[in-house]
Amino acid sequence: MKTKALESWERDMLRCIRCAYCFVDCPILTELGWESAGARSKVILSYGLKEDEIECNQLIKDRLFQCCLCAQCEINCPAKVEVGGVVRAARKDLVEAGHYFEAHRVMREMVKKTGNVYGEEKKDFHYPKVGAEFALFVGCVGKHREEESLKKTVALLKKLGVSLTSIDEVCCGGVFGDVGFQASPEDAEHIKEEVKKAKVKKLLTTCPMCYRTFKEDPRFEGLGVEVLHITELLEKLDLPVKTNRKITYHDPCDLGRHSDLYDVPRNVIRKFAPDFQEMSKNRENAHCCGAGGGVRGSFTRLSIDMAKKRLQEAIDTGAEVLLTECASCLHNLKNARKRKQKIQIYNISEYLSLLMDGEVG
Amino acid sequence: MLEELRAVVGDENVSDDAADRYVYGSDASMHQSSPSVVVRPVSAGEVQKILRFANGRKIPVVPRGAGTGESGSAVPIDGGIVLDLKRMDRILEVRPEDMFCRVEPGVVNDELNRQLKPYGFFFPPTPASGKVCTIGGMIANNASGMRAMKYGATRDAVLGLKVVLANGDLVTMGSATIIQASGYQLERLMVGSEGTLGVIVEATLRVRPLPEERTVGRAVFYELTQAGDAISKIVATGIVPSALELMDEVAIKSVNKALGAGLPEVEALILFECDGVKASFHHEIKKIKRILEECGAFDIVISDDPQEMEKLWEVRSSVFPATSMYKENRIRATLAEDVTAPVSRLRELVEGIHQIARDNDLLIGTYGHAGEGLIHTAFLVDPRLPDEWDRTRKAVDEVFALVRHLGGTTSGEHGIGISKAPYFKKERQDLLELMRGVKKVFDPNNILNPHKLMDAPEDFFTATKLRYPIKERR
Ligand SMILES: Cc1cc2nc3c(=O)[nH]c(=O)nc-3n(C[C@H](O)[C@H](O)[C@H](O)COP(=O)(O)OP(=O)(O)OC[C@H]3O[C@@H](n4cnc5c(N)ncnc54)[C@H](O)[C@@H]3O)c2cc1C
Ligand code: SF4
Ligand code: SF4
Repeated sequence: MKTKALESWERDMLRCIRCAYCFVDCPILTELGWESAGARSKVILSYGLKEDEIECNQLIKDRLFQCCLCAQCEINCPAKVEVGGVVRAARKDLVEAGHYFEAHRVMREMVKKTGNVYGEEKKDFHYPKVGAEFALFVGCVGKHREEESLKKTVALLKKLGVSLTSIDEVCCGGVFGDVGFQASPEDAEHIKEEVKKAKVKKLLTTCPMCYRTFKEDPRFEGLGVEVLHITELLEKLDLPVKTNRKITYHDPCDLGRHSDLYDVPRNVIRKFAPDFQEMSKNRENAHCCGAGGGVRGSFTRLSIDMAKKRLQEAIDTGAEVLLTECASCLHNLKNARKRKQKIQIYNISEYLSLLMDGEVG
Repeated sequence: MLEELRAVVGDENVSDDAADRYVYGSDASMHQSSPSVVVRPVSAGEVQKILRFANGRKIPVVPRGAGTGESGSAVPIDGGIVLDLKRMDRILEVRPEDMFCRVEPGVVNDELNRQLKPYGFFFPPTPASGKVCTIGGMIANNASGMRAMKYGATRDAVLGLKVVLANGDLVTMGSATIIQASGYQLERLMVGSEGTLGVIVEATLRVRPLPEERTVGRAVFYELTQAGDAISKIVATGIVPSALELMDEVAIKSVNKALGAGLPEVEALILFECDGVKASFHHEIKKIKRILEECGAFDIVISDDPQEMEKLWEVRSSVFPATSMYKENRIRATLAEDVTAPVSRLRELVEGIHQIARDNDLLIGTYGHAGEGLIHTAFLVDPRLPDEWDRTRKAVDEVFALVRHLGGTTSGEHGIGISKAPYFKKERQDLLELMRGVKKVFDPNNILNPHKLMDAPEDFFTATKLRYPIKERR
C-alpha cells in the first residue's frame, strides 16, 4: 500500500516513545479494551503500514477509523506526538488505497448532491438582512438532526437583538479531512463567496467543527471575516434570565481541546446559572461524547456506548440539566439517554432561549 | 489452538489478527516480535486453563500488563500466546486495619492509589509510568520510583501472591501478614521474575498510611557534578527524604519544551520531598537546604502547596517521553536506562556517562531517582544517521562497564528483558546455572516468557527485529 500521506508523519511516529500514557481516558480504548484500539497502537499500526511491515486488513482499517479524533491522547502525550495528524494521514492513505467506509463515501456524494452530509433536501433558515453584523453558519448536523434546538438558538439571537443574516450554506467539509477524503475546494469557494456577498465583518458559527474548519482549514484562507463561535458572542451579551437549577457542562472536543475554548462557555453558563457543577472529567480531560472523527457514521453503536458513559458522568454530578454547545454532541448525548434518565440535555443557546420564553425553569 | 482458547475465554477475547499480533509484539523497548495469538482472560480459572493447554502443547506464553516495560520483557521473542491481563483489574479488598490490600494483576498503579486514598493509605512504589502500568507488571519487573528511597520498591510491598504455574496449578505464596518467616519466601522469587516463572493472578500488597504533610523543594546547580555530590552528601547524613531526584540539562530542556514546565535551564536540578509530620521533618528540610547550599546550589525553592507539588511530580514523570522533544530528528531509544550504583558513587556515575557520550559523539541525558543511586540514560539518537547506532551500541557497552566498575547493578527498576540481558549475564555469571535450575523447577517445558533474563540472546541488537528504521542500515 502506498503511504504518501504518512511519509510526512514519520518524525511523530518515531518520536512516540510507546509509553502508553495515551491509554488514559481514550474513550475508544475504554470501550474496546484491546490495546490495538488505543492511541499508541494507532501510531504503531500507521508506522507498520508505512514501513510495509503489515498489510491493511479489515481490523487494521477498523482500528484506524475507530478514533474520535478527540485529542485526549495528545493532551496526555508528553512527547507531543500529534496522534490526530498521524491518524488522519493513515486514513488518507487507506482511502487512497480503496479502504474507506461506505458511510463516509456516501456523505461525500451527498454533499455533492445536496450540500449537506445527509443528502436531505436543502433546509435553509432564511432571514436575509442587509447590513447585518454577523452571517450565521449553522452546519449540517444542526440543520438536519437538531433542527428544533437550532430554531431556539436562532430565536435567542433574535431576542437578544443580534444583527444576523443567513447565507446559502453548503457543508463546510471539516469532516472529510477527518475520514480520509478530500474536502471540496469548490464548496469552500462557495462559502467564501456567500460571506462576501453578505457584506458582514463576522461569521458566527453554532457548530464547533465548522468553527474550527473556518479557522484552520487552508481552503478558507482569505475568508476575510472574523470567525466566532456562538459562545464567544453570548459571553459578551447581557442575558436577562436566571435559573436556579443545577447545571453541568460537556466540553465538545472541537471547542475545548481543539480550540482552547474552555472558560468562554463556562462564563456564559455562570451568568445565568449560579448552581454550576463540573463533571469529574472536564476541560482538557473531558471525555469525548463519541460523535467525532467519523465514528458515529462508521461505528454507530460504539459511538452511542461512549455517549452513554459521558451522560452517566453528567448524571453523577447530580445536575438536572446538561448543557453543551455542539449539535453533534447534543445529538449523540440525547440518543444515549434512556427514558428513565431524568437529566435534560440542551445546547446552552437553546436552553437560554427556552428560559427567556419561560418554557423551562 | 484458537478453538481451545476461544472455548476458555470466549471468541471476543482471542485474536490472531495481524493488527493485534503486530501491536502486542512490542512494548516501550526497541524490540518487536509478534505473538501468534493474543488472549484476554478475566479470571485465575481462565489463566489456569490457558496454561494447562499451552503446557500440553509446549506453546510459549508471555504475560502482559500495559506493555510499558522498557527492556522488552513483555515482547514474545518466540511468538506463542500473549496473555493480556488488563481485564483482571479488580481491587478485591482494602484492609487498612491489617495494612494490606488484595488486588488482581491488571489493576493500574494510580487507580489503586485513588481507591486507597479515602482509607488514608497509599501504595508507595510510585513509578513514573504509574498512570498506566499494572500491578502484575510492577511485581514482575520489581518496579520502583522516587518514593522507593523511603518506602522501598515493589518487592518490599509484596506480602503474598496467587500464582498460576506453567502446568496450570494455582498456588499461594507468602501470607496476608506483615511479617512471615515460614520458609522460602517464594513470593519474593516471583518479584523480578519477568513472567518467566508463573502468572501472578492476585497480589496481597502492603499499604502505608498517607503522610499527613509533604514539602517539596527544588535546587538549581550550574554544574552537574555539584548536584551529584549534594545527593551523596544528603544520603550520607542519614536523612531519608521521600524523594530525591536529579535532572540534567537535557531532561530540564525537554520538559520545558514539551510541557512548558518553566524550569530554570541550568546544568542540573535536584528535586526533593520530605513527608510525615512537618514539625519533625522541618529540621530535615533545613539540613538538606544547608547541604545543597554548601554544594553550590542557588535558587532553592521550597513549597508545601499541594498543586505546585503535583505539578512538579507530573513534570518529573513526563521526562522520559518528553526527551523525544529535546532536539529535532532525535528520538529517545530505550537503552541502558536504569543503571544503578551505590549512592556514594553517584557523581562518578553521572560524570562517567557524560564522558562516554562525549567520547562517542552522542547525546545522552541523565536523570533519575538519584537518592537511590539510579540514573536513567536518555540516549537521543538520530535513527537515520548511518553510524549513530554503532556508536550507540559501543556507548551502551561502556555505560554498563562503568556501572560494574562502580559496584553497581545492571537494572535498578525496569528489569532485564532482552536489551539488558548480555550485561546482566556478565553481572550475575556465577548465578546463571542456579537461575536456570529454578526456572526448570517452575517451568520444565520452558513455556513461560522463554529466552529472557539468563536465557536471552547474547546480542540484544540482533535478538529481535527493532522498531526503528535502523534495521535497513545494519
Ligand atoms: C514513561 C515510562 C516511565 C517509566 N517509569 C518507571 C519508573 O519510574 N520506575 C519503574 O520501575 N519503571 C518505570 N517504567 C517501566 C515500566 O513502567 C515498569 O517496568 C512497569 O512495572 C511495567 O508494568 P506493565 O504493566 O507495563 O508491564 P509489562 O511491560 O506489560 O510487563 C512487564 C513484565 O512483567 C510481566 N508480567 C506482567 N504481568 C504479569 C503477571 N500478572 N504475572 C507475571 N508476569 C507478568 C511481563 O511478562 C513482562 O515480563 C517506565 C516506563 C515508561 C514507559
Ligand atoms: S503518550 Fe505519546 S509517546 Fe506515549 S505512547 Fe502515546 S503517542 Fe506515544
Ligand atoms: S483521539 Fe481520542 S479516540 Fe482517538 S486515539 Fe486519541 S484519545 Fe483515543
